Amino acid sequence: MKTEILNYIKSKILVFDGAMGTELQKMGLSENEPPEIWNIKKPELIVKIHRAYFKAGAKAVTTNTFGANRMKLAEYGLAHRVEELNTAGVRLARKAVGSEGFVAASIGPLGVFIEPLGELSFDEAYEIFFEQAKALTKAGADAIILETMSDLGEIRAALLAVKDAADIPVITSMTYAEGERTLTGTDPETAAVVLESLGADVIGVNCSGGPRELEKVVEILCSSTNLPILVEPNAGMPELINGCTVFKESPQNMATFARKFASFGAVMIGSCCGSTPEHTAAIAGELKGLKPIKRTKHFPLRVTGRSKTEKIGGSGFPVIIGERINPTGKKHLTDEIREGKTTIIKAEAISQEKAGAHLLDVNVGVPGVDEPLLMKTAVQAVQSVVNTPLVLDSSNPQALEAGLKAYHGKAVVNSVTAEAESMEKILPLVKRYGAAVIGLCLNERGIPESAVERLAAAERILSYAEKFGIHSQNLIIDSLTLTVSAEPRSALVTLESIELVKEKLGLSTVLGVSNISYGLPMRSMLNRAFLAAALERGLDAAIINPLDEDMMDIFYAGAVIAGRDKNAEHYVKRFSKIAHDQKEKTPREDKEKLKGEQTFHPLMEAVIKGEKENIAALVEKYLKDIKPMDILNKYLIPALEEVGRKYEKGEYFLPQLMLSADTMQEAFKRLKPELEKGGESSRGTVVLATVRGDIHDIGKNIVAIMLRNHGFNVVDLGKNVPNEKIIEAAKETNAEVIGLSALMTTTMPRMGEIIDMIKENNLPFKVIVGGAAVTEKYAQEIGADGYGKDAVAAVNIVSKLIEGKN
Amino acid sequence: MFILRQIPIQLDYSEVYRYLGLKGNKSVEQNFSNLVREIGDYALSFMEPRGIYHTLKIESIEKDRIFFRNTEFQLKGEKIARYMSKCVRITFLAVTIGEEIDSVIEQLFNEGKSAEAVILDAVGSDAVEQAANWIDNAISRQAKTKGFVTLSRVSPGYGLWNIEANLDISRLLNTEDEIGLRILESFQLVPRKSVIAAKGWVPAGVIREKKGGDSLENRNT
Repeated sequence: MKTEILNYIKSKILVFDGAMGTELQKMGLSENEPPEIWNIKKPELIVKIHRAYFKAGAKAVTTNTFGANRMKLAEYGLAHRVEELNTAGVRLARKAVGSEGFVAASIGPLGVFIEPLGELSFDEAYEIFFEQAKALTKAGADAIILETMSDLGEIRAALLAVKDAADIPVITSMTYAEGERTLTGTDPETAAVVLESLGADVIGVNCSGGPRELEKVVEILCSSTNLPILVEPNAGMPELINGCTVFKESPQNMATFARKFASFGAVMIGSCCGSTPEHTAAIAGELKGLKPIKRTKHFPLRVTGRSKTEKIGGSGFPVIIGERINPTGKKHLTDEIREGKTTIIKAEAISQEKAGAHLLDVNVGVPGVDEPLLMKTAVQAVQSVVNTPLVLDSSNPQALEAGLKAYHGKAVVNSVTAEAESMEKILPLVKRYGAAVIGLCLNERGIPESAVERLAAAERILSYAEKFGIHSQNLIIDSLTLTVSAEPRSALVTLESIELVKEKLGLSTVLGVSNISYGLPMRSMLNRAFLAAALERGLDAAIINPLDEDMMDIFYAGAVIAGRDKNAEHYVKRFSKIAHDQKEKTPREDKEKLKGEQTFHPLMEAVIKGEKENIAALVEKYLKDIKPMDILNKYLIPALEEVGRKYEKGEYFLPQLMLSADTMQEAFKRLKPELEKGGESSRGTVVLATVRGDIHDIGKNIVAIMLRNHGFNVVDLGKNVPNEKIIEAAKETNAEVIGLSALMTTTMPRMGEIIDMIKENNLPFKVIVGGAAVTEKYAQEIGADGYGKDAVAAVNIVSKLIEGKN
Repeated sequence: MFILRQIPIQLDYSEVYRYLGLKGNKSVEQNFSNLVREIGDYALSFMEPRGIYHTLKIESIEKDRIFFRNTEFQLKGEKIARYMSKCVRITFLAVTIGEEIDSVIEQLFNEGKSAEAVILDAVGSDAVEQAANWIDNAISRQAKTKGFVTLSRVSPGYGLWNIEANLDISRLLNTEDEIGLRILESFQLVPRKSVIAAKGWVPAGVIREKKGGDSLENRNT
């Protein structure tokens, strides 16, 4: 590999050039042509720009090839000229700087979103980047710079393609905005971890904003990796004034920031949009003679999601790997995986992350399915709902590769064994996709019986991993849990192995805990005891069910005992929250009692508080002494009225109103047969409908429930109902009232039409209207008898209308 | 044309409560907040937030319409033309979270779980807003790097702009084929939890970015 550019930054800060695009615009580039076409049409101008920067003090210039990929060039009908335009770009830069300067070949984003966000597949993106990188390398660039990238998924594909196509250093630079996040939410540390794991030689930030906006990002990048850091801010934020783009940051200010960036540890410093050779001259002057700051920070193993980094091993807090996305023994999940759906998978991911899992295991190994496709689908689905880093769990290398391609982050592969065949298949994938890997202490003869033999298996995996260029830090050893009922000493062997692996090899350890208790009663007891013991021996990652709260409690307590939770910080956080919740509950209840809140009959209380589960039993109890009609009129209806009052006063919000309504319905179900026996009739009939052309009926549904609860007979015709059908239904059911709902101004006129039909035919129905855009004034204008601003109001109006008639 | 197949969204529960009619800073009982969170999590497991957007360069602006370069598409209406009068580009966008939520809401009503139904409806309203916000943010960032600020997004049917424009934009973006969003004769959007909107680009030197918008957004709840 050409390493001159990397050698240079060992002793000096490398000054990069400034903007190309805005300089071309000044020279008359129109927006109907790609900047790269000037590499052919106006090569002398490109050389002139490079030379101006070089003379101003830039030791490295960036080629005019930012958008010279097949996809972007296709917009101008130039897709077939990728090689020509990229080759010309490199040659012009070289012509300008000769052998005195470095040529960094620019590759920008494709301008579309890649899967799962967008439609472009990883493989398609890879091919496009590969083609461009190949041309740039062949033309003699000293390095490739992937710049202005805003999606971690895209830069992963680009970096892999460039590494395959080019044997020259790769600089990877992303663009960040407010909150130090890229467009797709990636933070600088996560970007650094992922890009370093994939083999980037330099990590950086460009564009984004002026130097001030980049300060924090640069600081985080410098403290997140020991790799060289590149910084290229814009000359401030652009403004378009009189049709011209203006960048207002002064050269001197840019230079002052450049010094600051160097003090953080940046070693490649230039500028981006809006900058000029004057900016470069000021930066070069300011940095002259400065030596790069050496950064030698120690980092533990870090794995990431798209926007979250977790640390594993060392002396830090151990991590929990959620085990629930695994079809073994789960029929519903198995069926879902077979159908290619992801609802349960996503729900499991959300619940485990919420319960405190630091990583999530993803296993879709159902016999007879297309596991690679399903692994890809599952990884994309899980990443769409949680940020937690993933552990891709499969013995199928194709499935692992599909998952690794789809994954936007640094994953853990689960797993490789100490068998040569397994290592030769799995470890190259781990290396290629920059993952970490779980190594199982299992060799060709099976699971070794002694701890020493398991250590030997771990050593074998380590030596193979190193052979494949995988850093030992990326290896996590699983000493394997055997069933203690079958082999009484097995638990001790596992525990001893954890200790040995940590001591002798310095590797991180992981364990699936629950197998220990197989075949024994009260399995959870054994699981918890084993977990605590394993943590004490140095376990770094536990594969458990995070929804098992007892297990989680032991995990947190065990981490304190094992000396892995400094100042018991995590423990206190977990348990003080639980204690706080419990404490909160009691005084509030006491306070309510002390306040002497109004007390209601238990039947009323149940409806007011929405105790849906208890109401049927309560009705049953009181039916022994109270007449059904009295239960309804003296307790249930007044309770609903109380709920309505609370709602109108803003004490209750909609779900509380509806929970009381649901409770009332439950009560009504039990009362109905009794009322019918007594020949009790309803309070009147109301036909409800959402008018033709309108599909929004949630408001109407709420009104229907409320009316039923108040003893009215409701005929609900649903949504998108023709005018004639509404009238017919009212006639057939001898309705007193028609209730009409419409959301939009385009459908509201149907209400007026129905009222006109009623009047024209002298029909006896009263009409009440409601809906998001309907107002009282509108109701009056169309001649409605009432306007229901909400469900409570609707019930009151219907009651009045019917009482009025009676 | 940018097409998004899986927009990453996070719910804003303060907005969910607002849709549910919770007023001011009033606190919610623990059992309700648990229920709301539970339903939010459940919804995230099946919603499919998709979107599409496309930016057109303005050719000319007349009193009641805006013409664009290289397309027959026009933006019609006096108020909307006035609102966009300082713009040089407009991005048109459409998002949806899919139809499944409607059937789940209906099922909940049928099962006598109307509290859950109305919460899910509010969750859906926020989810589609969040998806639209994601695209909105992407557009703003893109505009910012090119020297523009963007106006608050506006939707047809909300005072400034005739609802009929839903159909024009849906055709422009081919929403039915691309993200499964169609327009009824009444110009309502199907699936119900969908948004169609436009976002104007103004040169940064002409107008300073407005913070917080001006209540012109479409909330298709």
